[in-house]
Amino acid sequence: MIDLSDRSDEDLLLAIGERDRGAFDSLYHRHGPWLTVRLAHRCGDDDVVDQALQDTFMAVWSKPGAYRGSGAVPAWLWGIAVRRMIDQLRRRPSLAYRAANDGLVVSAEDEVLVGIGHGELGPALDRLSPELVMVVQATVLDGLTTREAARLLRIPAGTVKSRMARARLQLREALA
Amino acid sequence: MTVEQTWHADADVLAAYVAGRLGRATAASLEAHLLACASCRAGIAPFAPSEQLAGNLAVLHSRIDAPPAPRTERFLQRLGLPERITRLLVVTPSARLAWLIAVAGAMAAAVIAADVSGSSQRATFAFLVGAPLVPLGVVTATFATRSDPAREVVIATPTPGFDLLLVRVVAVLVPAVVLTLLAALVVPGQGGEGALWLLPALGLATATLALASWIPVRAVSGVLGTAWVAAAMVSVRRAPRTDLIEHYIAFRPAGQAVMVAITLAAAAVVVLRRDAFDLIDAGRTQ
Repeated sequence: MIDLSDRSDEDLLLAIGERDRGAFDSLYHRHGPWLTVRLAHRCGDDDVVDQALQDTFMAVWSKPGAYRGSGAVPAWLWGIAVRRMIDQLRRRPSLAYRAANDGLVVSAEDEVLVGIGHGELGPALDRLSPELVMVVQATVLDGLTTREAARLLRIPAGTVKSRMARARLQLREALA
Repeated sequence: MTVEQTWHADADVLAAYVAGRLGRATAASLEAHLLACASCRAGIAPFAPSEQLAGNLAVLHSRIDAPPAPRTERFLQRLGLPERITRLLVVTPSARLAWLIAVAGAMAAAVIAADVSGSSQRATFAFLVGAPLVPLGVVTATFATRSDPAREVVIATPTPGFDLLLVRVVAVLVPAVVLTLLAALVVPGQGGEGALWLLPALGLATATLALASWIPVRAVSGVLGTAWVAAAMVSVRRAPRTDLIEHYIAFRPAGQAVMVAITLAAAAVVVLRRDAFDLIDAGRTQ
């Protein structure tokens, strides 16, 4: 199902505020796929991904006005989705947030596919220990606060900070 | 809002990302790019799990059409209880206002009857014998699955039957016991007399649960409830009107101690036979 609507995300949110189911479906077809894929890269459990995705769009349906117009809609949606996923993970202590493509340090395929290397950054990121990668991913890429990352990774907030500092140092050294 | 992107990921890269075949740095770059690039986001769609997406949209439609969760349920969720527990609690009869009013009404009737009958000793005795029947009836109503509005939810829930049992027993017993305790404050009686029903009530309710792992719960509670009342009537037949409570063994210290023992033994049986309750929750008791 391809979204043929040429309305902007902001217009769709306004329409959703007026209980427009068509606008809701359009927004879902537009953003559901990439959100699902990205969530699945963070947690291998389909049930958690499904719940987080549903809760995200339920939040959009019940409070589209929560989008204040600062920043882009996709980043806003991801912010909701990753936090709904955290809620799900907290209820299931046996499951954990994981680093995307964990254990995959192949840069060869990337270079072939993308046609660009990342210079020294790729190998430097690959060399970070898994604990450091998780902290970098949670805070830098997924936009979580130190406290949220601490709860997600089940470590003290101070540990998040010290790991972040260590990761920064290692990356800086690798790029120097 | 969106800045025009000068670079786009081609289909092979997007497919590799979806399949988790990109290295860390590339995946991270792509994810950052996706937030800013509508055409690459759209390019993901052909590789995304379409069945999963359609399923989730269907669930979303039904969740949108579903009536909002009752106020009590939203309150419990705000306290941090997971939805699978709160849903069960609110469909448990004791969480319904009508049910609470009914129990409160029965208690009020008992108190009024006690007042009218004049003889305070007799009234207290009637209350003490009647009060344990309330938790007993409540537990029975909850687990006699045919009349249980929670039955479908219980069968469909992923939580083990035994956990459910505990959650629901607590949910039905606490309001019933609190209401009965309140009534006990109003009923005439000296010192701790008004609370003598509490241990028999626990004994009867737990014994019913324990036996319900073998025998249909309605039969158990019918027999135990009748036996409790009959024993009370027989034991006070020849007793002087002013000394009824002392004549029923269950209200003497020895009897109270026996009730504690029954409660503990029954609780042990319930724990040991917890697997049997999975069958009860699946509707096999009838």
